[in-house]
Amino acid sequence: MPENTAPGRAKRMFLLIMLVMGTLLHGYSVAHIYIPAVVRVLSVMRVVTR
Amino acid sequence: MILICLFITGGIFLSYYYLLSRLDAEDLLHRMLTSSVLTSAQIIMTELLFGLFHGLYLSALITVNLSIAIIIVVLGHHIAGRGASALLMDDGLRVKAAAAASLDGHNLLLGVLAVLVYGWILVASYFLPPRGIDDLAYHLPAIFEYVQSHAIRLLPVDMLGLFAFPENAELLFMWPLLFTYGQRWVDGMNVPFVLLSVLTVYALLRHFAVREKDALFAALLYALCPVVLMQAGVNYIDIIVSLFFLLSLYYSLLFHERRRSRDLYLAGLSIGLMCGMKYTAILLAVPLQALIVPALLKSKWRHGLGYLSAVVLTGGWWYLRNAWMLGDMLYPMHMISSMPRAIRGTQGGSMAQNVLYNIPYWFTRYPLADAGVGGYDGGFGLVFWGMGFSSWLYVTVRSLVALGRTSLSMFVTLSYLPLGFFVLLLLPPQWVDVDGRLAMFVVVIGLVSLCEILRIVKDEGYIAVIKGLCIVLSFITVSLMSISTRPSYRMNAAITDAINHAGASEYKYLGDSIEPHNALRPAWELLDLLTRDDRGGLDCYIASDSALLWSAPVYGSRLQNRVLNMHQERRRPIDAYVCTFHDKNKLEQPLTSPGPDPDPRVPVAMTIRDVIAKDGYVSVIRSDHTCLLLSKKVFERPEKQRVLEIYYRANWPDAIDAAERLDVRLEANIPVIAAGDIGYGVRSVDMRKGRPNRVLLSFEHKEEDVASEKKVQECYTFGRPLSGYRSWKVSQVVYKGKELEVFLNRRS
Repeated sequence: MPENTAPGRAKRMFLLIMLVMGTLLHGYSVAHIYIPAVVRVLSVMRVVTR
Repeated sequence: MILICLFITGGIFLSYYYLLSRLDAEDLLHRMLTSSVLTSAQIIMTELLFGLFHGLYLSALITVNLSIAIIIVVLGHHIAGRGASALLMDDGLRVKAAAAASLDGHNLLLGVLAVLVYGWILVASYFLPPRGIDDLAYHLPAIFEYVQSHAIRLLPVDMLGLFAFPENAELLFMWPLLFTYGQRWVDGMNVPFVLLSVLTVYALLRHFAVREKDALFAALLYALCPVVLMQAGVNYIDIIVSLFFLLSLYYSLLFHERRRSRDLYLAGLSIGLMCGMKYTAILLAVPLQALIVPALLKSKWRHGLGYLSAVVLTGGWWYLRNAWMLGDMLYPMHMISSMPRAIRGTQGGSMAQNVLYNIPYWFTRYPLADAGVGGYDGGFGLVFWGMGFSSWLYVTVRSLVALGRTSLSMFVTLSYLPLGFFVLLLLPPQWVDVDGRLAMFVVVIGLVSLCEILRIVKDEGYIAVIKGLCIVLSFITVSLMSISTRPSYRMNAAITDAINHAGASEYKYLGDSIEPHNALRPAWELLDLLTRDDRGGLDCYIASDSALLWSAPVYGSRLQNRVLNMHQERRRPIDAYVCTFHDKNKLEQPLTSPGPDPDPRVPVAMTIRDVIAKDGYVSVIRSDHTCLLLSKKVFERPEKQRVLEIYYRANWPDAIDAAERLDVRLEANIPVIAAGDIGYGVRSVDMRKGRPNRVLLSFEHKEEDVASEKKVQECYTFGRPLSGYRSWKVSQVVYKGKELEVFLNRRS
């Protein structure tokens, strides 16, 4: 890989935003698959910890 | 027996580990990976050799493998090097140093999650039956057959063309099966290979000089991506194929950079083993040659010969066999022809046509939909699509911009992401939801890129945010296990039964699995219950619509039954017929897939209707999609009657109660034709009173068919009279809150 020089704050922010935006975009399109799973786990945990 | 298997496998592994440790001071992880590759190769090759000569016996395999291990230890002992105690001390210190460098809060959190999840998967493999679609169809039947017959042979491809696929990965699954001789634990056999995958991803990242803690973090993320989580609990082979691809890449990178012949042979071994697992692996091996060939050209020709020999010896058998026996190395795929045989009659065309059709929809099917997510067929996950893929885009563009300063190693590694998707694009469009798993390794390429981003960022605060997000996404991913049916990881029913000593068959728990398995479950469950304590088992024949040809459950949980469809040359009496069908109203279609009935008296064009109408067989369970028939001889055995009675009582207590109330009002010598549960009730009462069987089970509204098949002159029916007969209502009983009328029917 090219040598890494210390990146500036703007570059770091750009990379972070790129990753977060990627996650949000993909997460939004598959939310209907994950939300029922998360809800089920939370409801089981609620029963177990009651 | 599972402990003996672990002991023997550990012995083989340690022998190689010892030898490698004496040879040089290569780092600990490298020695572990190399020992694992050599152990896998030894196990596969000895099984194959003994199997091909019909000598696949556990005692012989243990003797030979332990002998090889002892020879290797003796060889190692004669090489000047560190003593065993110094070696242990040294490695202990290395592990301690690596742990200190790798373990931080993020890795501990992710590590604990991974341990809990894989612990759950292992417990599920103890309690639940095999439940992957392909596992029940061909991954498992092949090895069950090999273990039973002590021989490795081509199973009938006219029954299922997929039996001709290469089977190196299945042979790895077979190794513990030779010890346990049962289906318990079989679904957990991918777990050790996930652990090995974690080590391999870690080694690969360390090769690219990624920090220890980042490398471990990424390796754990791979173990927690959806497709790996879902496949870890079944016997799909994509985890193992992906692992051997990563090992091939790792050794190719090492050879490219160090030019050491040992790395070349290990690359050849890994590539050969991988190509002997799946046809698509050949495509994956091609770009690796960009790393290997330039270095190979500068080394001695005998090394090239050795490399090729390693590939052919470890992966070539299956191709040679198919070319020799079927006239086509890649049967039944026909990769070169314009219309692969496997996709004839389905939407799809030549590979070029498939690529052209698939490309416009690529974005909506993969980055947006993550095809197959939530099951064992696909799903690269939130971390890959959210972080890995965007990192790959950034790193690739950056590498192309600084072309002269990027190594060939990194380019080849990055190229495997588009190559993985290219493999998927080659396949017919309607397979999109089930073929993502073939490119599982792209997740690793995404993680390599993510680690590059972490290196570029160089700020612990930013890195903590990114890792924190990955951890949250991993927790969300793991929650998919709670709702998945491909496979189901829910164990509440199994654990409740275990606590209550219910003595249920594992197949009962297919109720939580996909609908077709649930629909066929009754026949598999009852057959297993009837035979699992019977060492001799039964000779079974499957009469099935071709799409429902799942033979693994018919072998039984302790591999006690034989599946005669696999032995078409034999002509022997059939103890049980297992019928599985899509539509009970369409049982007249000739069964072509499983070949003719081994019973010579049966016409060649047999139908499921012919099977069900057979004289000398008693239908013991019948549902909308399945039917189990036992020969009268087997049915009348007291121990089978006992099992049936217990099974009927456990499942239809209300029907038995109604039948008991009816019993005094019905003549004991008049046959009963019953559609529905009441038939099990009457039979159960008869069994308890020691009467011969008089109950003929029928499908709903198909009582006339049974009466005609069995030439019944007089019989009782429930709910409605038989048409074409003179009928009288003779009694009635309250069943499930309704009046159930009983009719006596006489042929007019």
